[in-house]
Amino acid sequence: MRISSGSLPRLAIVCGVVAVALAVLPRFTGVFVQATLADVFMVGTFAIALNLIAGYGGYPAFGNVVFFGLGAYATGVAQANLHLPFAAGCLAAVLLSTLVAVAVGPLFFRLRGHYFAIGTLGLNGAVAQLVTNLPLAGGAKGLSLPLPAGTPGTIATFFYEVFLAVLVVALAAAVWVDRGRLGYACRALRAGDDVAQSLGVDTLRTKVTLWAVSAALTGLIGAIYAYSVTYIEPPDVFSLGLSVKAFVIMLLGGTASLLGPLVAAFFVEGAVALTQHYFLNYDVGVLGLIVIAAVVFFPRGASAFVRDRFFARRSGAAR
Amino acid sequence: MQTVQAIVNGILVGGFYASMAMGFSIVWGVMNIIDLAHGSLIIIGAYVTYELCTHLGVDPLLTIPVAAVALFALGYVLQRYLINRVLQASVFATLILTFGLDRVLVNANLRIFSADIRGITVPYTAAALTIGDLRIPLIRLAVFCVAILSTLALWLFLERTRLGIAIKATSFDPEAARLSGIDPARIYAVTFGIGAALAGIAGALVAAVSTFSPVIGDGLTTRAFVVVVLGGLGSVPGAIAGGMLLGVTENLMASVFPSFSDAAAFALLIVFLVARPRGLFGRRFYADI
Repeated sequence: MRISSGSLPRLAIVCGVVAVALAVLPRFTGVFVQATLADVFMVGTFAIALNLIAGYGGYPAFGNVVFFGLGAYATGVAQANLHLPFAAGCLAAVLLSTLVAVAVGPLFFRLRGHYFAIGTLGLNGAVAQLVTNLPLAGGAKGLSLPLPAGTPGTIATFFYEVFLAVLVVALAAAVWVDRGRLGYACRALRAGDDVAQSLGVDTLRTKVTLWAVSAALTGLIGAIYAYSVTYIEPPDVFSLGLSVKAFVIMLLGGTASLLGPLVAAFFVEGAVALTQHYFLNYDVGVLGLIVIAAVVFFPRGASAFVRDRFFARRSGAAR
Repeated sequence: MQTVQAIVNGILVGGFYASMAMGFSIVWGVMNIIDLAHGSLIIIGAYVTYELCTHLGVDPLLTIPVAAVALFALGYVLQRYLINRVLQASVFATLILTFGLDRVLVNANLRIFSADIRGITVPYTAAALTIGDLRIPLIRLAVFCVAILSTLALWLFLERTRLGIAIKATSFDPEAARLSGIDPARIYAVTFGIGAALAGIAGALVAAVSTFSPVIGDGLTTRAFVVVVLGGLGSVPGAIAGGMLLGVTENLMASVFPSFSDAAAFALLIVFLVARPRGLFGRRFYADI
């Protein structure tokens, strides 16, 4: 799944133009557009991070949202209980998410296919309940973060820019994985663990590294999300809906292109905003229909990619 | 004594878990579909029973066949006209598809039946068998028996009937089954119908013994997952053993650390996935796990 947007310089130019255009956009738009786009960047980053482990690694981490929740709570506790600044909260989020991925990775990578998917689902459920029972984190009542300073306009622009910056970091990480040593290791890995090992790839280390990068990015956007909404509760930040949304975006956008997930995120988030506006009380169902339609009408995107990347040689439960 | 009561409660609820998980397991085992809408199908079954009981005054246990038939029809149609279309795509496409389906069903249930928490009271709700300090409510015992019987009926069906054998043959090798004159698309629709019918039965049992609302479906789906992983994919004795293991673990945990019973279920899931991914009674039977 080599990224196929032409040569690296051309890719860099395209991305640079898009990034500059997005960076100057807040000067010409209002709070609503900025907030919606910030959401697109957030979900897009989630999808890019998920793609690292699910697309490149071939491990469908259905419960990757656990890092989003951990990141949100890490920054929540850091800011609300320890009165640390936002940047320290972000750092705590990245550290905690990475640490958890590195700690559980060796255990979880003994699983494959949807056993791995279910394992991560279980991890998310267990962590969500632990957090719910943590008095420090506010328990089931949720946790209120300090309010960001500024007017609604400047706050919207601030989060727009922060999410855009993280998106750029995520894209850079994707290119780094794709073009670098890790990318070659992943391609060898998809030919089978035995093949990769015979080529001198430390398979476990490769997988754990991929998941750690994915977790760090996911934790970071969780932290920013928490600060932007100023109130978090476990069902919200450990919601599997976010993971599913990211998978739909991955399937729609394809993994072979760098900007594909971003375009897909734009359409999916647009659809979410529209349904919430026009189908009050039916928005969940309408979104369900959109998900169903995406899978039924894009079988090529879904099938070609998923079959080749996930399950062609990976149907065994465990080694 | 409290511990013994917790274990007995766990075994009783474990029977219900077994019937709930068996429907989930057969769909997963035969078609490699993880049906995330299973919980919502159970809830629909619960509403069938609830409506019949409150409006027509029928005993909840007598509504079980109605719930089973209604859900079979729904499941058959869903598989035949929707899920079969993406079956060739991948396991993951079907996972996302059933998630979308689940959202639609949850929303429909909320609009049709409202978010109110429902429950049924029967004249014998309070009746119980007492052995010493041990208390076994009759309705729970009845639910336990129905659950175990329906699970065993499925096993007999798969082992002894032509259709059951055709289902197993299709899960082994769809192409070879086709050569023997079996239409896999129809078999898949029947299989999903059976899974949904078991969900309907489980739903009727939920309505008979506890309260429910459209949003508890997710928790039921998760438990079905856990039971299948504990017991082993496609195994009937596994579903019964796994259901009881989960039921007892949850009840023991609830009697010691009430707020951690879900975490205990997930911990059990992860331990089994890592240490024994084929479960207690798992075998390479239905599909390539």
